[in-house]
Amino acid sequence: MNMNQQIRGTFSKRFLSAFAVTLLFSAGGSISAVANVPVVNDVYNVSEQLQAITIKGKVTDTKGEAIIGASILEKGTSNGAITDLNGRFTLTVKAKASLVISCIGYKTSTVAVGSSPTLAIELAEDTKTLDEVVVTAMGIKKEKKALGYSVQDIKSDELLKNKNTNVINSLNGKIAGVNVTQSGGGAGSGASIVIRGGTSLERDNQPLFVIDGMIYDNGTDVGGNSSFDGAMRTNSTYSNRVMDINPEDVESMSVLKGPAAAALYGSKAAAGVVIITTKKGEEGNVKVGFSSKFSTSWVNRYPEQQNKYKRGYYNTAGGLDEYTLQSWGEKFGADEKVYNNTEDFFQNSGTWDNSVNVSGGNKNSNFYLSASRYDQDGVIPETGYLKNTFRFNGEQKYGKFTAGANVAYSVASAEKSLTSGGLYNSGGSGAMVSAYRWPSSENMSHWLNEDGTKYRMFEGLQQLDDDVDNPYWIVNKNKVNDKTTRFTGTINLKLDVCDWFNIAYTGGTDRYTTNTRRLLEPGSGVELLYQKGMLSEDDRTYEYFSSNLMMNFKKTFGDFDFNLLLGNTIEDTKSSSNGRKAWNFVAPNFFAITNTAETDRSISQSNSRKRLIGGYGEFRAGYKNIFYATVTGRNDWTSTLPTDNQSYFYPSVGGSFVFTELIPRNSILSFGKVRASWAKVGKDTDPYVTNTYLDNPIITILGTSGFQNAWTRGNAYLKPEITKSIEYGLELRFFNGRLGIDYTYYSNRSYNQLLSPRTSQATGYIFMKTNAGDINNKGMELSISGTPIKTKDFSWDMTLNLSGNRGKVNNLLQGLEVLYVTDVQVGNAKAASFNKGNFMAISGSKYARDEEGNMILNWDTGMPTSDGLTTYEIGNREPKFLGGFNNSLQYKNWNISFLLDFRVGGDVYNGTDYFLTSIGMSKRSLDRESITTTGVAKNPATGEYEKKTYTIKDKYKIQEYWGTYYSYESANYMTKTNWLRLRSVSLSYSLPRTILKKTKFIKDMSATITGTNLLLWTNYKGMDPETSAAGSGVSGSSSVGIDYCGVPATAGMSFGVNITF
Amino acid sequence: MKKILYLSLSIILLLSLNACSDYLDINDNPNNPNSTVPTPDQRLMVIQTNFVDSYESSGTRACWFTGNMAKTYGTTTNDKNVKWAPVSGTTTWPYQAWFIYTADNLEPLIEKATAEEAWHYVGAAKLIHAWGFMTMVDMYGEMPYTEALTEKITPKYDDGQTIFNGCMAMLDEAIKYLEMSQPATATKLSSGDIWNNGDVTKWIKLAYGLKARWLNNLSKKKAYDPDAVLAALDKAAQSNNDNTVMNYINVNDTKQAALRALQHQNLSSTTSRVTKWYLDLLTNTFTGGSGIEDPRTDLLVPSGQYRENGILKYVRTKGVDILNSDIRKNSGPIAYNINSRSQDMLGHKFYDENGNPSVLDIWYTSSKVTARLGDSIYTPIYSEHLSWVTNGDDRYMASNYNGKTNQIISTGTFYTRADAPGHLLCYPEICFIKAEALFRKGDKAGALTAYKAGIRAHMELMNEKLTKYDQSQFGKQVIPTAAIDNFLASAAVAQTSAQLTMAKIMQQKFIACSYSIKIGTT
Repeated sequence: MNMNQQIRGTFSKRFLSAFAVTLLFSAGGSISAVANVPVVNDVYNVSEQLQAITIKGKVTDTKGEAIIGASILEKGTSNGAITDLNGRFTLTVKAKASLVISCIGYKTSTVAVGSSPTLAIELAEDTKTLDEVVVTAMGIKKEKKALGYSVQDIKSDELLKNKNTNVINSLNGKIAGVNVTQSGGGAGSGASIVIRGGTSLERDNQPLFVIDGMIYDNGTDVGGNSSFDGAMRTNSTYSNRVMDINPEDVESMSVLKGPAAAALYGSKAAAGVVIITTKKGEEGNVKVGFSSKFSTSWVNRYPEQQNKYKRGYYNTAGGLDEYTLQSWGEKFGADEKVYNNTEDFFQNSGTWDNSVNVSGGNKNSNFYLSASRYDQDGVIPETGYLKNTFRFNGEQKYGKFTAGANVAYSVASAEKSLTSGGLYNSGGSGAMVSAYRWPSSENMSHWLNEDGTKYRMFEGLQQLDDDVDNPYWIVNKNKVNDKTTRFTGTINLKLDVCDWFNIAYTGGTDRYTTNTRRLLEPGSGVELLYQKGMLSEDDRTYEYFSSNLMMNFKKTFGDFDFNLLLGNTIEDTKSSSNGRKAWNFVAPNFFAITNTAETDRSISQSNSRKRLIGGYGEFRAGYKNIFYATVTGRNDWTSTLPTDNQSYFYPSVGGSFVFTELIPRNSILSFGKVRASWAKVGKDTDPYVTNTYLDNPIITILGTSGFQNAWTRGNAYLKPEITKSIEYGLELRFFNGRLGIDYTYYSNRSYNQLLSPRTSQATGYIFMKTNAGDINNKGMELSISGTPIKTKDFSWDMTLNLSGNRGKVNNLLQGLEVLYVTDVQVGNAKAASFNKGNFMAISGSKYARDEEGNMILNWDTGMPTSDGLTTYEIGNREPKFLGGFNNSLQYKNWNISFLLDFRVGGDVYNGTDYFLTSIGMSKRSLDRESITTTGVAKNPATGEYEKKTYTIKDKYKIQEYWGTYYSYESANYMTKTNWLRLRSVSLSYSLPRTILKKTKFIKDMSATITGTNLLLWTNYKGMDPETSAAGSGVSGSSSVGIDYCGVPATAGMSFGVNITF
Repeated sequence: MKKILYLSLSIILLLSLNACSDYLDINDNPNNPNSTVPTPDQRLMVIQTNFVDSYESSGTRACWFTGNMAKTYGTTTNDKNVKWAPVSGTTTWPYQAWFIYTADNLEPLIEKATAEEAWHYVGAAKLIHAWGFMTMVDMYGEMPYTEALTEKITPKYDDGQTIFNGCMAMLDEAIKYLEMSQPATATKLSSGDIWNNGDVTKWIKLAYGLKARWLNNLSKKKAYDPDAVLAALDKAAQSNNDNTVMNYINVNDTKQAALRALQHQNLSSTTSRVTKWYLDLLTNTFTGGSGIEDPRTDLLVPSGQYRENGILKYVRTKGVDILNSDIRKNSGPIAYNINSRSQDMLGHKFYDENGNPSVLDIWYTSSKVTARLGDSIYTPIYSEHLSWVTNGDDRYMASNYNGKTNQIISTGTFYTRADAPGHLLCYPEICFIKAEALFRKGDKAGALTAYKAGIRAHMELMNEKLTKYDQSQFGKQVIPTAAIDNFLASAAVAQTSAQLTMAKIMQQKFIACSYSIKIGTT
């Protein structure tokens, strides 16, 4: 009987609802059959086999119930068996062998084989596996069953299975309620993470990252000196700073999803917290680990382009004009060359990822030392990302006192270009926009003349600033570089004063400097001022210091456990930016700020500083192992709010009830718990918003300078933003933990939002800092984990995560019905949040329609019409639900893991298609020989609307239709998107210990082949629908779901080796 | 052990509660002064700079709406103004320039000036407050006033009368402060005043001139009182020496490009054209006109250089007839394409009225539609700016009018050059208001005197600037005294009180207020 076949068959017939029970028993049944087959093992010699003894045994629990599926292994060999439905097994072993009996949910037991051929083995329940411990707020490890809220964590081995240089990406699909969006396939480009929807209408909604007890900045810095040198989020790719972490250093990541879990972290906790704990050395010999991986990746999906029509443009008079980069021209002739410019432009990316670590320790001390190098060439030529990291973690005990330090240093640099342009008042200085638009009739790779000068298609016909620069020119000449040097260090001190009282202190600093450099070489198609070259440099420094003192008390009185924690935290955050810019280089081909006249330079500077003091406490009580309750409170004093409001307090309360403690033990329901919590957290604001400030000095005709107020009005009455949250959950485990279900419902309301909405200009300001608006998030999370199969040689672990969130906005200011994300606008479509509507909406324009829904057409032209309003809510970018299905199959030394992730619903706006359609390069625009419009049109003679159908054949009009009228209905470019993706699949092989033993010095060795993003099924027609036009650091409703000429996402394969000495 | 416990608890309490206030007092931006910092003079000069943006940009829009100016056929927001289909953005600009860049700075100025008893600054601020809101009422009608510039996020709208009365009262207050004497320690008005060099008497005359202007605007209301107008006029400008003028400058510096005249910024593109209606006012070729050409004609409308029989000569633009022709319906007038120098484009350019290519040059109309071939007779109101011709890269060589040798596509016009004067409130207008008031009162003889004085004063006012130009340049030459005298004595001008009509006064007032908001209210 082929077990695998049977499993597959069963699996396909009955999916999730009943799979666990079915599989368990069918597996168990089949395994007993397997166990009856005589075991043949090459390792044994004949003489040993002659001394063999056949054991018949039964495995039971402490109550005498048979244990099904327990594994019995002859110690030191791979010889073994599995118990059948009656808990029985038969195994032939050497005389005097020891048997190791193990089963999930029970303590492993070792039994010596005596002379008797029968054995009765009793396994004790292992409460530890049910009493899972997780890292919670302030790094406190707690029993999961005591928590009144949902926490999910992910361990190192799982993290490294589909290792990504950005640990955020490794969370994708693995944790319910977490929404990760990679912002494209550019080397070093960031990803955003949002947990349970956004809590701020206009500010950062990403969770707080805490590493080894210290808050770790995850900003996405655009750098540069204002948007006038190309520094906008949509115009290039930017890293999020959690990328500075070496994923190999991470021991575990714990995701605190809501305010209840994170309340102790205070001001930034509303959006959740990701707690990262790095590795420690283990007691024992010094270990040396080495891993090396080579990956190659390629663009997984290109935008849909047409390649039937050549360059050309119909002018108003109907004549075909050659003087254009649009593609409305003649059809290609049979012999004419069609260039595949876009695909030829991209290359395969190659990455070397090497890391080494040394760790060790003894009873009183341990250390961990690591170094890594990640070196990537991008899919765009001339781009790359290079990251070097170093880490030292160490700890020393002196009696009751423990001192430790964690220190990390990293240097990450990215070489890239602008992806879209228009920032220098130019026709286009963005590589992606140019690469996608380049007409198929032109050879895009011809970008230089033979003498090395720039090839200009319309040389002598137009001014330089009207040039659309060739992408090869842009990536080779107009480079954007950044380099971040980062140092983080924490010192941890702990004094165990007595068995019920300890004091812990963590002091730490996180500081980095990002140097950004943007160069425009002379001759680029940019505004006149920069045509002789421009260099813009910017140094941004971030410095953060934190101090955290905690006292923990614990005491047991009879059946009651009490814990009290009191703490104080101080944070000081400073950031500064110094920029300089110069243009008109004097000496040719030498690009330096100093190589310019003093009048052709400018500088900029900004500083900001913020301080926060917090006092917090937590009281926990537990009764037996049944009831748990937790109360927390925290008061913050922030420098950024007005003096009267700078102190604010917020509490939380939560509890759990393990009801299975009150019902008799049984073999089906092993654990059951209900939980509930309520929390309130405050969030302060950014520095310097309580005052109104001035614009830069303005030169007047007197030749002297004066001042005007900036267009944002400060507010001396601001209050903190508050999020209130309520959460209920149910946790069940069956069959001794082989199947687990964790369900959560939550409802959050964030109010007193700190906004700077557009106000009536009669206030004297365009924006005014104010408190207004609510976001309500409601959602559910379901996590099912199971081990459907567990045999001696084969096991299958799986986890299914599902979550859905609904984010709605309410109570915006009177007259303010929509809030926009400043950087994200493509055509008429914008990322927007609507009052009494969706938080993650898309706004846009619509065709004019009559009451019956007929399109109102122009009587003369037959073209659709529009009322010109661009503020309709046309879509919602928030998915209905999303999730991941993670599997690990182990057969002897082989492991296959795969992660499927999926998303259902959620609109994606294809801005790339919009752009390509407007210039005749999209597949959609192939429909250009004849166009039919149907609707009603107003007869000017009668003044009445009549039903009309127009067939338009005029080339100019068709071009106008695609270029202008079609986009009146913004939703034409929108897709309600679903996807299923094979996010990762990996096959690894670990060399058996028996072989490694012979080498004496290699402890572990494994090789892994991983495929990333290899399969994607989606109804979306453009590039990868996991997209965000403006990258990772966008505030408010973000740019997720807006696809606009970004670097396409990639798929890849990698081969890696891990060795431990 | 208890000691450790108590010590730790105390530390926590201390850190949490005690150190807060000083430690947290860091929330003022170290790089950027807040709005309480600037001195009165640093405020006033920028308030004036921004005020004229609002005021003169209102004038630009008045040009489009009154038909002083047309544009080539297009779909930009400004083009829609010309079609009387205004859209947000272009129409809200004067509003934004007033509220956002000007008005919110008045209160900080008044506070700072009051503290140092710099009363002239307080007076100037109040005058500008009144002037700005009255400009808004002229442009937009109802407007937030009583709740404007407060902390109310959506201030309520007030009716015109409330704003009018408020502004008139505010002018009285302004006069009161301007008449006060400042202590020597207070900042002198001259250090921050870019209109009147700190001449308080000119400010006071300006205040009365504004009063007269607005009282005169009531001519169609019951409240109209010509005596009140005349009383105000008595204290307003008495000659061109009392004018309030913004003297814009044309500089070869991209960083200071904003110092150029607003009408240059707003109108001096390649798409602006004058209308037939406006040109007719100057040439007196409208129905019933005298046919006698105003000596200001070639100063106020553009000409282009054409080569005829090898000789370059200036040809005055034709006016676009937006009232009685179907040119706008037929996508006209069409814009010149100034970008291409392609040889194959040489075939169709500079067509004359009959569609015959008379001149070859690098400017051309790209249309192949016959009806549009003649559109090169409409010369753009295009004027150069020094920063556009830097680096030896004269981007629009053909149109450059700074003494370059190439053919000149447009001479530009008096009010649309980069260094054109901004005639904010000047004596010629005072004369025409006086003529209007006297005419309405029945004093036609007095009205005639004022009317003629206004025409002369405007020509003399133009000459003040024209004398500063290179007199060899066509369109920039001073109007000779003889030409002024001849014109004033001609049939184009009413010679007797019997000949004088309100229409004649308005024609001249309109010309004297060309390219300003006053053409809207005139």
